[in-house]
Amino acid sequence: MIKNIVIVGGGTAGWMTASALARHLPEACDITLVESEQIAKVGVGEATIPVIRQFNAALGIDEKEFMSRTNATFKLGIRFENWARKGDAYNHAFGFFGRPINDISFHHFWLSINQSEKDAWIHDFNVPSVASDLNRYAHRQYNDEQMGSRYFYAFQFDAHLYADYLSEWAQQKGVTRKEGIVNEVSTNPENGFITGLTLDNGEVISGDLFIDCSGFRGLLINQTLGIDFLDWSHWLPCNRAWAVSSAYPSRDAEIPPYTRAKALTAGWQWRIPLQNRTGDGNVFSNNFISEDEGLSQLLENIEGDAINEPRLLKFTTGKRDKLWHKNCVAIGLSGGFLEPLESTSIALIQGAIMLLLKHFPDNNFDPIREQEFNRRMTQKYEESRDFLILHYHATERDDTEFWNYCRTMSVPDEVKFRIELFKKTGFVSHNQSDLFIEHNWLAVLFGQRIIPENYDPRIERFASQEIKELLQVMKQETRDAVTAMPIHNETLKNYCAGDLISNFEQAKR
Amino acid sequence: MDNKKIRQIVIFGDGVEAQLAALVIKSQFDEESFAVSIVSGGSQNSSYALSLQPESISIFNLIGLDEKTLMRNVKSNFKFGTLFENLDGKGKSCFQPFGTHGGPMDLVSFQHFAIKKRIEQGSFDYNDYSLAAKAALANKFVHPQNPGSLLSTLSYSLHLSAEDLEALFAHRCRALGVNVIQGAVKEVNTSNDRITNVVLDDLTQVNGDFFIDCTNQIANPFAEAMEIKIKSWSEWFENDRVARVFSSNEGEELFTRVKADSNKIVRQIGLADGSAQDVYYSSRVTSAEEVARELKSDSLAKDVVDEQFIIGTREVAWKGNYLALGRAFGQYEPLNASNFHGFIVGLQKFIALFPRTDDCELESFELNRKLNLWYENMRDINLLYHLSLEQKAGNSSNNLSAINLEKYPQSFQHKFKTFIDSGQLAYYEEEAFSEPFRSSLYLNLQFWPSAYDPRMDRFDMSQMNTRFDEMKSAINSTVAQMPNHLQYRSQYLDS
Ligand SMILES: Cc1cc2nc3c(=O)[nH]c(=O)nc-3n(C[C@H](O)[C@H](O)[C@H](O)COP(=O)(O)OP(=O)(O)OC[C@H]3O[C@@H](n4cnc5c(N)ncnc54)[C@H](O)[C@@H]3O)c2cc1C
Repeated sequence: MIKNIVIVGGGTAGWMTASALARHLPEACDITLVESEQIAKVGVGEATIPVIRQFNAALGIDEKEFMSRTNATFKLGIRFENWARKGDAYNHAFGFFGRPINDISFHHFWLSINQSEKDAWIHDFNVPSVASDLNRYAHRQYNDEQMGSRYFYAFQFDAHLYADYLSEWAQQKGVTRKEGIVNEVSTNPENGFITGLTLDNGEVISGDLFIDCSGFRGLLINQTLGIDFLDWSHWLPCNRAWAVSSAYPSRDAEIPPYTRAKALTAGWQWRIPLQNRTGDGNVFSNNFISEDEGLSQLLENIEGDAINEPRLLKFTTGKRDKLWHKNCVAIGLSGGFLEPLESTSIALIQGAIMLLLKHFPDNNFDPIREQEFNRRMTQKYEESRDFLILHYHATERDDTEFWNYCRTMSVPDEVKFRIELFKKTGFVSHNQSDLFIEHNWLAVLFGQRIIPENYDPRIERFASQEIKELLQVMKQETRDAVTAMPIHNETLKNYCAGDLISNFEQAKR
Repeated sequence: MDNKKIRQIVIFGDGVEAQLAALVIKSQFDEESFAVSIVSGGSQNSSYALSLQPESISIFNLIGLDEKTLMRNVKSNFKFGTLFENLDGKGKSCFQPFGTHGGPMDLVSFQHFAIKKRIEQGSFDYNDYSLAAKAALANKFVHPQNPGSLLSTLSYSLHLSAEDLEALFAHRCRALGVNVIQGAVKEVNTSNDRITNVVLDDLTQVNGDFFIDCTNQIANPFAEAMEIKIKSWSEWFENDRVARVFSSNEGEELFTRVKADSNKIVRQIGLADGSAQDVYYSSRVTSAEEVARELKSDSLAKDVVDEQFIIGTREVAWKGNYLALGRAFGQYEPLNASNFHGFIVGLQKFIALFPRTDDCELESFELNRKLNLWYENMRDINLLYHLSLEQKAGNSSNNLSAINLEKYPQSFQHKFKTFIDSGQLAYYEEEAFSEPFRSSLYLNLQFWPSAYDPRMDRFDMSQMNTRFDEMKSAINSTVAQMPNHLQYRSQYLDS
C-alpha cells in the first residue's frame, strides 16, 4: 500500500489532485502538497467544459457555494468569431442539434433541404447555441425528453479562487500543505525512483509516490527523470499569451453564458465572463507578430478597462512522451499543454486524476498500471489536439501569414481523414471515448464552413415536405424553449451570487 | 474517373445473413433507389439454430419484425446467458448471464466489491448478484421491467431456428421484390479493384454495382479475385472443423450450453422443438467420422453436416464495390454467439456509411478500421475462455500473475494483465461487450484479481454488506415468484 504521496505544485492541477486523492484514497494515506508563493502559478485557466461537474460532484462540493466563492458563471459553449472568414460567428455549444429521427442524426435532415429553401442555420436547432445568442440561461439538469433541458453546462471561474477553494477543502480533509521551494530531488540510484525532495529551508520530504504539478517546468518528470517533450507546435503554432482582467462596462452589463474566442491576425483573443469581471487574453504566435504587437492587440480588443497589469505567458504546445514514469506522475501543465481554445486543460487534469485513481499503484509499481495510464492519456491528448487543429486548419482566411500557414499546413492523418469523410458524406467519425463527440465536431465543422456534399441516403425515404415540417417544428421548439429561459444575470443572482456585478453599488472600475 | 452510381446491389449467400442484409437495405433506403438481388448457392453451411446477443435483437425492429411475430414463426426460446460446462478449470460449470451484477456504486464498479469480499472471505459467488443467472438456472423468465427495479437488471436474447427464420425472411424478401437467383459462384471478374461481374456455374453472368458477400466463407473466389488476405488466428484457436446436427430431444433451457472437452467445443442451442448441436474440433486430433459417430449415437439426430473453417479475419471487409459481412469477413468458435453478432455489427456500420457511388475509399477505410477493432476485441474475449481451458489442462496453480501470456496477442496480454493486477478493465475502442459483462466474465471464469480499486476502502463496508445481502435475498425471492419459461413464453405468444 502506498502511504506517502507528495504533490509538487499548488496551482489548479496540484489542488485538484490533492482534493481528489484526499477524498477517494484510503484514510491511511498521507498527502503532502508543496508550493511556493515565490513561484507564480499560471492561474489563467478560467473556462471549463461540462465534465468538470462530475469532478466536483465526486468530491461532494456544493455547487452554489463553489460558484459564489469563485465568482463563477455558467458556460454553455464558446462563441467563435472570425474563424472561417472575417465577420463569421458561430457557437460551439454543449448540446445536440435537433433530434435524431429513426436513429439518423439530425444534421443529415437539415442537409437534405435545398440550400435555397433553408430558412435556418443549423445552429438555430441547438438550444444552448440559441440561448447563448440571447444571453439566456436556465439552471437545469439534462433531460432528453424536454427540448428546454437538452444541454450541458460548464463553468467559468476565477482560477485563483478555485485553487484557494480546493486548497481549503483539501486541507480540511487532511492534506498537509508545505510552503517552500523544492531545491533538490533525490532518486534511488538502483532503480531511478524518486525518494525525496529537499526544500529551500532544508526540510526533506520523502514519499512513495510523487505527483508533478509544478507547471511548465516539469520539475520532476522532466528536470529529474528526463522525460522528453513531444513538440506539436507545427500543428498548434501559438506559443505566447498576454492575459489581463477587465471590468464590465456597467453594472447592468449582460454577462454572456459563454466564452468568446475571437480570431485576430496571428491567433485569437479570449473573453471569459466571470460574475465581477472578465478574463481576457490574446493567444498568438511570436513567429508571426511581436510580443508588443500582441499586447496592443489585446488592449484594443477588450471591452472594459483593464484592471490589472497584463501578464505574458510563454508556452510550447505538446505533451510529455509519457506522463507516468516510475513513481512519478505528471498532471497539469507539467504533463503537457495544447492551448486554451477549447478549455481542455482542466478536463485533461481531471482525466489524469481519475485514471490515476483507477490504476493507483501499490508498492510493486507493476508496470501494467503505468502502461494503461499512459496509453489512455496519450489518446486523450491526441483527441483534443486533433479537435483543436480543426479550428485552425479549416479556415478560408488568407489575410495574414499566420492564417495562410494554418490553412496550408500538413495535419495529422486522422484530422485530414475526418474532414474528408465529413465533406463527402456528412458522417462524423469519432471514438466512443472522445472528449469531443459528434455534436462537438458538427458545431465546429459547420462553423468552419465545411458543408458536406451529401447526406445520409436513408433520408431519401422521407418526403421533403415532411422533413421541412419536422424542421419547422424543431426550430420553433428550440426558440420557445430559449425564450422561456431567464437571462443569465438573473439566474446567477438567484442561484449563486458572489461578487456579482449588479450587486455592487457601482461597477468596479 | 467517373464514379458509378449504385443502382444494383447483389448479395451472395445461402443463409439468413444474406436475406437479412437484403431486408435491412430494402427497409432503410428508398425502394426506387436500387434493386437488390440475392444469389444463393443452395448449400447448408450454417447451424440449425441461431443464438443471439441482446444487442442483436434490435435489428429485427429495423426490418419491421416485432418480437412476437418473430418468436411465433421461428420456434424461439428466450435466452438469459450461456452455461459453460467445464470451463472454470475445475470441472464445474460456469454460467455467464446477460444483464448486470450487483448495483451501481459511487465511481467504482461492482466487481470491486466482489473482489474485496473475496479477498476477505476466500470465496465469492458473483452470480449470487445476478438475477438473470439465478432465473436462468431455475428456468424462470420475465421481460426486463421498471427502470430502477431488480427486474430492470435483466437482459435477454433469443434462440431461434435458422431454417424457420430463413423461410420467414424468404417470404418477406419476395414481398419486397428481392430477386433470388440460384447458382454457385464460378468466377469473379474484376478491374481496377472493382468487381465488374460474377459468373455462376451455369454460366449466367450476374452484373451489379455493389456486391455483398454473406457466403460465410472466409476463403472464397471473392477474396481471391479482390486480393484480400486472410489473417488466421489458428495459433490461438486450433479447431478447424465443425460438425452440425439437429435432434428433437430436450431444448427448453434459457441458455446456450457450451461444453469444452479435451479437444473439442460443443455448443447446444435449445429450440421449441429440439436442439441444435455444433461440434468444433481439430482435424489434427479427431476425425470427422469419429465426431459423426458420436453425434449419431443420439438416435434422434438428423444428418450431420461437416465442414472446414478458418478462425481469423480478412485484412479488410470492404474494398472497392465489394463488402464481406459476418463469417465471410471473420470467424470465431461459437463461444459467445459472436459470429452472428459480428455480422450485425458489420451490417449496421455499413448502413451508416452507405455509399452513393462505387467510389468509397473513405467510407470503407472507416468501416474497416472500426470493424477490425471490434473483431479483435471479440477475439480477445474468446481467448479468455481458451486461457481458462488451458489453465485446467495444465492444472496450474492459482497464481494468475505467473501465467505465461507471451504467445497471446498484445491487446489480450494488456487487458488480461490489467484486470488480474487490479480488477480494472483496460479501455479499447469498439469493444464487443459492455464493461460489466467483461468483468463478470473474468470473475465467472475464476480469474480473480489480487487487488481492487483503492476507492473501495472509503466505502462503509457494513452498509455495503447490508445492501448487497438484501439484494441477494431479493434476487432469490424474485426468482421464486417468476413464471416458468415455457409457461411465460406460451402466454406471451398467445396474447
Ligand atoms: C494562456 C493560457 C490560458 C489558459 N486558459 C485555460 C482555460 O481557459 N481553461 C483551462 O482549462 N485551462 C486553461 N489553461 C491551462 C490552465 O491554466 C492550467 O492547466 C492550470 O492552471 C494548471 O496549471 P498547473 O497547476 O499545472 O501549473 P501552475 O499554475 O503553473 O502551478 C505550478 C505550481 O507549482 C509550484 N512550483 C513550481 N516549481 C516549484 C518549486 N521548485 N518548488 C515549489 N513549488 C513549485 C508553483 O508555486 C505553483 O503553485 C490556460 C493556460 C494558459 C497558459
